[in-house]
Amino acid sequence: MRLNIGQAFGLVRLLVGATLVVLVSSARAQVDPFPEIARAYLVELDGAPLWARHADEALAPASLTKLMTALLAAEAGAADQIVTVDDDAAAETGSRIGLRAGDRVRAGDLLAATLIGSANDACGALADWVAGSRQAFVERMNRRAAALGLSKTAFTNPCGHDAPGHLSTANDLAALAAEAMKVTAIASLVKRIDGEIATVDGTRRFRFDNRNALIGRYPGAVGVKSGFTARAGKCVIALARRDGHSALVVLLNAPDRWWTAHALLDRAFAHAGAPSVP
Amino acid sequence: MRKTVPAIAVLLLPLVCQAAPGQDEQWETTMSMETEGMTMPPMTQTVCTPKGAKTENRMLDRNCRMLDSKQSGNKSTFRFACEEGADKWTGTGEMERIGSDAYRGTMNASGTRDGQPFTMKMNVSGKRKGTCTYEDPRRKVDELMAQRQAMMAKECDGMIEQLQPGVFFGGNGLPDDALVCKDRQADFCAKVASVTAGMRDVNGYTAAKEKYGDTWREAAKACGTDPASVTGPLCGSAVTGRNWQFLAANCPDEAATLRKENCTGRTYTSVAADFRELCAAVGGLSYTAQRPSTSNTDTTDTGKGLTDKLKEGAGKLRKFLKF
Repeated sequence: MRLNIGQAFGLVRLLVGATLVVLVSSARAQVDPFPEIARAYLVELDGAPLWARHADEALAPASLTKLMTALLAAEAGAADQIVTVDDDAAAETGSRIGLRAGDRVRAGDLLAATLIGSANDACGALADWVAGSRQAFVERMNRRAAALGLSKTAFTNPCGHDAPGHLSTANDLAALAAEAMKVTAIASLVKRIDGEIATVDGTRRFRFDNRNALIGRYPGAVGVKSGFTARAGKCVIALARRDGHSALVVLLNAPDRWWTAHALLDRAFAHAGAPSVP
Repeated sequence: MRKTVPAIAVLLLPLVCQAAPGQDEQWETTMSMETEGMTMPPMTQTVCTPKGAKTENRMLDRNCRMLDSKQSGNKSTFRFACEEGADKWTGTGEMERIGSDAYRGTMNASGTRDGQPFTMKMNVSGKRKGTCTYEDPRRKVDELMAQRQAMMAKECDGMIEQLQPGVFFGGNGLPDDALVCKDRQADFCAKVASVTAGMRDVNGYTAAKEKYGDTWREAAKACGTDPASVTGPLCGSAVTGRNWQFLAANCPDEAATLRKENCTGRTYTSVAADFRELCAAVGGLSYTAQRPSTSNTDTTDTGKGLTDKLKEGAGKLRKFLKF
């Protein structure tokens, strides 16, 4: 088969484009100065990747999953709507604030408990309220993930329990965090040191600290979410702002996640003031 | 055994002549040589000699000196001695002038060359070809030497500027003949003193370290200055001023002590807030403190939170104790 000039030109453009994609992809993936700190990690400065390791490897994301649940709940609006906690939500295990079936709580308060306290009972109640069922909510989660271009992310539950096929990547989670932080309701909650909510009738109160240990401890930390399961290990998405710069760290299965995140944020900000890549 | 052919032993071959007009004498000389039973074919070349130079002097290498010479008619005889490094040789020569524009002669020499004994016989002849401008080879050598010295001085200046002590003081396996800047040690140490004087505050220290890396330490040691005398006060100030980033980067001993006292064995959340920056700075990405399991987990996983584990444990106990 003979190509005419137009076809040949198009082919060349295609090849050049593909080469560029490969080069850009490998440039994103290759700068890994800290191979020992986590199974996978990603550090971004002002939205641009600085360092990464296995950032496209699909791993268990634990409670970082709740960012998607929070995003869908926040996008559903009506924070003042009253949610009645159902049996499934009340039976949630792991991190919880102690909701009981029949408790009536405002959706905005459940969102706070989900994001700040990483409470699975609040998370489950939110998911059930938003979609009517867990299965329907999970379908929404995966549709939203696809719409965001999170190509290696798949959810099987709203709160991050270990389960076959419940996976995401450092790159996808960074994109999810960026999307979630655009929502004022979420951004204002994930930077709080602690929170307190109550049932609508005021008879039961729930107090919780932010599970993200960097909040209130790392200067400039403004979010966003931590997580832990046996399969995922210790995880965190940490966002800090300083001197007009924004640094994001995603750590998946990082044994010393707080110290590591702290040091990586420091280095990212130092990099912002440095003339060249270390 | 290798036989050395002392090809340049006694002949003065003044500069190969530039074919240019001048006041000096241009000669075409031919030389043949015989040594240790070997005969070298005649070599002819054009040379330039100073105007009026004695013919026999034209025949001597610059490593040789004339011991005596006698003139009889148009013939002269002479004795000479040569020395080059450890090699020495002596000889006699006979020269006959043929008019004012030609000469011929013979020379015999013996001695050592490259440590090997040798004897040699030479036949030489010369014909005047015209005029030229003589250039004293010693001057040329002196010029080259001066150029080399200027180049070396520049190199040494560069090494001083970079605080590289090797070529001044040796070390690091450098052979003695690599100490090409040995006579500039004082200049080097003056520079070191100037640099270290500027490192007495954090900004100066940081700037110098950025420029010289850790080379300044070797340079200071070479000049008899203990690097600790520079870093010690700065590290002390870093501790009192809580400049943990500086401490972590430049004061390993102080950092290790503070880390042991304030970081090791503590979690991120239990470390005193005042020292969290320190612990992150000195522990950084390799922080491996042994500590109890974290109390601020955000366990998502099913049924294995602290409460669930307590319930599970209580159930087992109840079953065992039957209450």
